[in-house]
Amino acid sequence: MSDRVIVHVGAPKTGTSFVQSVLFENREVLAEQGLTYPAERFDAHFLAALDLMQLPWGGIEREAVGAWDRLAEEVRAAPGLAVVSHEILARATRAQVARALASFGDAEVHVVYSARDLVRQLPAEWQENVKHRRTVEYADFLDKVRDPERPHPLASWFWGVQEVPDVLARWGDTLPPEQVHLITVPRPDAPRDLLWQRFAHVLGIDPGEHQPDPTRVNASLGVPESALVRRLNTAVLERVAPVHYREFVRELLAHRTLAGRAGSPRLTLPPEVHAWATDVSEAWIAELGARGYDVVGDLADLRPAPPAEEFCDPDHPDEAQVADAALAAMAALVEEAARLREEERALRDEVTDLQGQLHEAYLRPTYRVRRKLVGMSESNPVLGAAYGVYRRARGSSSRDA
Amino acid sequence: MSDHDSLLRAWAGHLRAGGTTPWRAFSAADTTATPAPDSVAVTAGAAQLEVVRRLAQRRDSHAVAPEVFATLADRVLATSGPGRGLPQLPVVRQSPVEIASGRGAVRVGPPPADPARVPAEELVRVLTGVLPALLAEAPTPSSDPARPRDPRRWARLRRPTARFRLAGPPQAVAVVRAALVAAGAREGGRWAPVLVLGLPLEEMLAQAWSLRVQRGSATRWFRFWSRWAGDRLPVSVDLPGLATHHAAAGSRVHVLLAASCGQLVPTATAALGLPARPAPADLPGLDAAAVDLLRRTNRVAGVTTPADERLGLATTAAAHLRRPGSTVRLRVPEQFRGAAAGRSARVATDLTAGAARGTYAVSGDLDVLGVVDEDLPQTPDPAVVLDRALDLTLALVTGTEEER
Repeated sequence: MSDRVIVHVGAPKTGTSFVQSVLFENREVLAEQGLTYPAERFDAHFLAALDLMQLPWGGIEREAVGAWDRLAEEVRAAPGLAVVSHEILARATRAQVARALASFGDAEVHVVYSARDLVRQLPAEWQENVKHRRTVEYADFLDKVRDPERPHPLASWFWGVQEVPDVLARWGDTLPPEQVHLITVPRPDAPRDLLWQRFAHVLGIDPGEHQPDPTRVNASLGVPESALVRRLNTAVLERVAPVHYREFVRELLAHRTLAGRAGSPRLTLPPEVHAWATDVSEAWIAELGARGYDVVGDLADLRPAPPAEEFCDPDHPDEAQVADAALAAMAALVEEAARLREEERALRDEVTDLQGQLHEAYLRPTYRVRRKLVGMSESNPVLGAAYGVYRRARGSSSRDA
Repeated sequence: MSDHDSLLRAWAGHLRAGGTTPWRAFSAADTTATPAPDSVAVTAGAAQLEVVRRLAQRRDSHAVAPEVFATLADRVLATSGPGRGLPQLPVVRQSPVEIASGRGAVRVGPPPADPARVPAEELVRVLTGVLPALLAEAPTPSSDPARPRDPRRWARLRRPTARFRLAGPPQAVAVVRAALVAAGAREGGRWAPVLVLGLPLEEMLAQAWSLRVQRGSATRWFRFWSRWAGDRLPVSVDLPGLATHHAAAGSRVHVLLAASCGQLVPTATAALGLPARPAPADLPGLDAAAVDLLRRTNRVAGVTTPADERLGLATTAAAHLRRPGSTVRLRVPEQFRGAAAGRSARVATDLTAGAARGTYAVSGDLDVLGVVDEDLPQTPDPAVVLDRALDLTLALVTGTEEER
């Protein structure tokens, strides 16, 4: 039975993917060191979170039925320390949190939440929306998020996972504050591995021994690339199934082709939104400082830096830059189409070859005799009984052949 | 515990005992209500509490025993609304929780809400979180309505009987079948003529949508249109396809078109040479709100219920939700008006061509295919969906079907 459980509940866009990557890729070694990360597949904790929160997610939730209870059972059975990690857990309601904490039995539960300043999170969250088929313009997104009543689903989701004091209140109100760990994401000019060192400190593992897989890090899109993908969404939304969108738009175009293109302006906040986000952040810092949580890093990391560059509007981008990005996207799609055509050609050749082999087998005299006997066995009782004996003698595997 | 929390706990106790006083009135009055037990209501938001109040308002008409109601209330209070929607809204108090900032106050968390003003959509969401478990516990009622029996079946032995086969949208088929059987005709037989029934395209698609949802689909009315607005139609709505299929199998095929299911009946009886019969008015079916509730429940069941049990849940829910004479009446969504007109025109053209080739006969006005009923809503009314959800929930805990 586990003595201690760490539940890492987000936030999205704070390095959660690379932490999960380290825990998953090294789970056998870590288990020998007393840390259990119970997952047979990389998205096991995602499925468990969908189940806990009864959250439909484009059909994948059908694989999630009962996943939380199974995860909790593995956690309870684990010796020493067990870790559960998924960023959408940040959205859990108090009732869902109560169920989750109760499911860990008598283990000492620690909640971990990693937070990044709002000025970086707002553009990142819009980009995530764009990469998930949404067509909302940037200004519209920011207006919806800033509406104090938060009636729109975009605002509801954003604040549900990003509002640091509220997330920690939902997850941490029933725990002693020292069991609530707030990891702050360092400023952009900090050493690259500082965030990983903070995570490793909370997890109690050697940061040098286990290094994150860099391919799990989601690079962000520039302004023209974001504008391009949003426009593409409006064109393909009703015509491309989610499964194909995921493969060709999100993975091939957004992640592998357009993310991190050199020379593209970075997405930031308009000046008035920047000022508003700074104000909110200051209030959060004061509130969090008074709660007595274990802060790993510095609350000052949540204070947005002043605007360093001129705001570049993705709703009215430089069309030449968008055209450049579109050219890169078309080149990638043509290459992929050619690769798939080659693959299709190879498969066609294989099918033709197999059809030929099958045809040759049918032409053999012994096949024709056997086939005639099987046909006769349907009307001739003696042959039928003999055929039944033959099939039983061949065994079940042969019967299916 | 704060005064607000104490008052909230007292209100939760009032509601689970069957009380129906709204929060505003309750919190304004001195009360000595028994607080809810410690195990409940701590995590409930405005939507959960309001759902319990709405259920309590209908408790008597469903004859729910007090202890059964308290158990149901606890279940609702412990269930968060599944899926995406508003966050769990705290119940409004005199002054919301705010934290100071340099330029004023910044609120933390979702905006507090008066439970009585929580949108119906959110109340339905809470109930769809409870329904899959209640449906799983409920006995499965007799699923689909039995096929109508011919009252004069013994007379068939003495005289020849008209035979028929039917194809087309499901509700139209059910209505015409009942009328023809009542008129003495008999369904089935290899040489029986096939009557392909056609209605306005929007009504045929509504019936197809209803059937898909009853079989476990979670597709919205809008999404259903977006799927079929291209160059395909569901099998039961593809009139030229159905007619051609049956004609190719050697059957005599007669396509009958009318503006409503009721108007199909006289053309069908006339096509078989039977005496005119009134259309049966009381066949049980699902209205738009019931189908919408069912598809929402199916969506949640996708994440709560094993695959092999989901159809059973939908069947149980549909059996409880059917009402005499109900059918889905929804207008084609505005975005698909053009596509619907184009599809209707193409179906009409194909039917005309098939009739001209002599492949099948066509009776009725082809223009009905493109008729759009401007008086119909484009989406089910959330308030009516909520009514259905509340009644279904209470019917399931009492173990009886809703009043019909």
